[in-house]
Amino acid sequence: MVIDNRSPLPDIVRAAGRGADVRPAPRPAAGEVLRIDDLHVTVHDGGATAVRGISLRVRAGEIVGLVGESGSGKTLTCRAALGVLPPGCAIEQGTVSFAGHDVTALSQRDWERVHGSHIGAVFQDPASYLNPTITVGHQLTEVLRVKQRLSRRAAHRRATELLRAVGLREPEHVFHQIPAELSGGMLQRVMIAIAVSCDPQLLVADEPTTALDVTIQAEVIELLRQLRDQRGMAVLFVSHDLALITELCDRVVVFYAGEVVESGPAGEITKRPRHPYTQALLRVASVGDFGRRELEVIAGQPPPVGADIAGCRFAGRCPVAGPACHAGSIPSVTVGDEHHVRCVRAEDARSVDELVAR
Amino acid sequence: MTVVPKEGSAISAAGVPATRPTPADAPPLLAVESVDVVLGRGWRARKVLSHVDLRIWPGEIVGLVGETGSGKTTLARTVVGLVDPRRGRVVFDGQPISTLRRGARRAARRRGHVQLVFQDPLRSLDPDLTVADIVGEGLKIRGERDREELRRRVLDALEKVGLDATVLARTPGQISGGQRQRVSIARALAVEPRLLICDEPVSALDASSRNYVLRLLDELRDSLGLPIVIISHDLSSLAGIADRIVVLYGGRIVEDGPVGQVFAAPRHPYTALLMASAPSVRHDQRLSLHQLRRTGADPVPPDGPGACVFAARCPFTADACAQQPPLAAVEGRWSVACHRREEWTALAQDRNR
Repeated sequence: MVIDNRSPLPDIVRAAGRGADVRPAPRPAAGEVLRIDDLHVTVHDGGATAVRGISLRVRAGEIVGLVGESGSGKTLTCRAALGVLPPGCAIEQGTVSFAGHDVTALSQRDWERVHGSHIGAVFQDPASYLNPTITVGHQLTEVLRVKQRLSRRAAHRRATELLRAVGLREPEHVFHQIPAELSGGMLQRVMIAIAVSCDPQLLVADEPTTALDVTIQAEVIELLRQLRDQRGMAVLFVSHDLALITELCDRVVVFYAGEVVESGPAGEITKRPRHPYTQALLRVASVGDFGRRELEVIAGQPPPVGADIAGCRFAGRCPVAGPACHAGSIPSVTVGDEHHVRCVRAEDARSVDELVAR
Repeated sequence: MTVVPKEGSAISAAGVPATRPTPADAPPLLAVESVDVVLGRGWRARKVLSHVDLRIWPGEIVGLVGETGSGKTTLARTVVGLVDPRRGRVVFDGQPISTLRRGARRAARRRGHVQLVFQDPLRSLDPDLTVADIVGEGLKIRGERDREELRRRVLDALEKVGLDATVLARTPGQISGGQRQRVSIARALAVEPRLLICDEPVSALDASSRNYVLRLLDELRDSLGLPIVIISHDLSSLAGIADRIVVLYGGRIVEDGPVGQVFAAPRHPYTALLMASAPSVRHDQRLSLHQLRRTGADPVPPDGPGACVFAARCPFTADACAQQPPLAAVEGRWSVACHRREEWTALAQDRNR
């Protein structure tokens, strides 16, 4: 049973529209939950542009994975989509629309009505997002009581249902425990329960399993897939581990130095990665090989955040870069069904077996 | 002496190094002999390690895997003398170190023959100290007074991990994550240890930096002959460099053997579960998670005080599992603590994927 006491989105957008700066939202395609167009995010109070022209879409019931090295802009993009950019960061250009409504310029207050009810979020370190002195049950019912205006008793019932739904075996017992009494995997399940408590259309999960053991990681991944299947929820999943991303996601978006260098269906990306950076990521990822082997590294360092580079941003580290790569900005080309690559040699596909079995 | 490839050339290196066999009769550098560790007192006392037997030979890389709370870190702390075993003893190079008292123990710590590298360098390195201070601290504690000599040895240690004098004056906050972990390793190397224990050295790093640090450890082992214990839960990359793998569960070693043999056909169901849980780009013939997890239809596991530590999660339990199985040799240096080590693989293959 899902109680839908959400404030309807159009209200919020109308409220936001009271300001002078109203942008027309791009027309949404069917079932599109999140749409980001040409997003630029500046950091250091406008001193550098860390995200440069990101566009991506997440449809209902779809799991989209963002992958890239630390500092590639994947977390900033997520935070922009959630309206929680850190201090000193701002959207310089571009739009973020949610379920067909432009939310780029929402005020803090309007965002509060979107958070929880329409978008849920889970982050890397669950312990730091929960109050250590209050029982997890209290923190979960608080959301339900504020956002859905449930009675104390109804909130309690719903909370135990949710705790069971995220795979906690003794929900009544867990309900009365404080965060310090629970393991990392259990805390992350509690965070997921809070994030999905008001049945959001989109769940943003930023490295939710990095701090967990592999066996627990596998269980959390299964839980996310299950929530998608049962609730038709869309998931935006961020990780630096391409292996993990390809196990979970339907579509993969590869970030490099603030740009999307390749995006496409997960199967396509792993079977025939087109961009040399994606190919490099695949070589360093755990390929499921348990043999003794030479561990590969990606040579060189990514450019500093916000560096202005003529041409391809990966060219400096690319093993196959030529003069054309430094000439000018590289357009994104379509190489297959929903498969886009930002590389002058986009047609040069190599299979993962070729890459791994060298 | 440079032991690290330039970062620019690293990607092209190919060729799979062979696992180094250690002579069967060589004495181990480190022997942990049936160690029990109890942490806490009174009603809080909790047995963290039970009957742990572990030997490390010179020049080998041993991967220690297991989940949070399995006792990996406690084992590492016992080896360096930060925790006292309740039973059993730790012998380093023929000398029992767990029984040393007071002055003798302090002297052993100052010598620093066994060095620990911690998981999160941002938290384990003092944020106010410069790299030069951090790397030189151990040498100062050991009594190195000559400033020129100190500087020379700090630079030498940094060079071994592929860093140069440009980082000397920086603080941990001013260098990248991969560099920070290399500084932690340089700090340990500066006192010329004979055994290095790295506690989750790469879990905070992304894939490329992770491989870089692991390769660095592999090269240090080759050039210095330094045995290294790597605690990690990333089995796939551990498989790339380790010679031997030791799996801990619930404070006991459940499997210990050469990396190739263990990963080709694990004999303990928990090792197989760890392998199945590791994310991978290619799906292979490994057993799947569903074949290795308990379901409601499996036999009720024995849960007496002496039962096998893994029984509650094991789908293949039998009556014998009411008794904890000892770590028994399968062949050569490969040993497993499972009553059903010869039977469960066939049972798992019969289950639905």
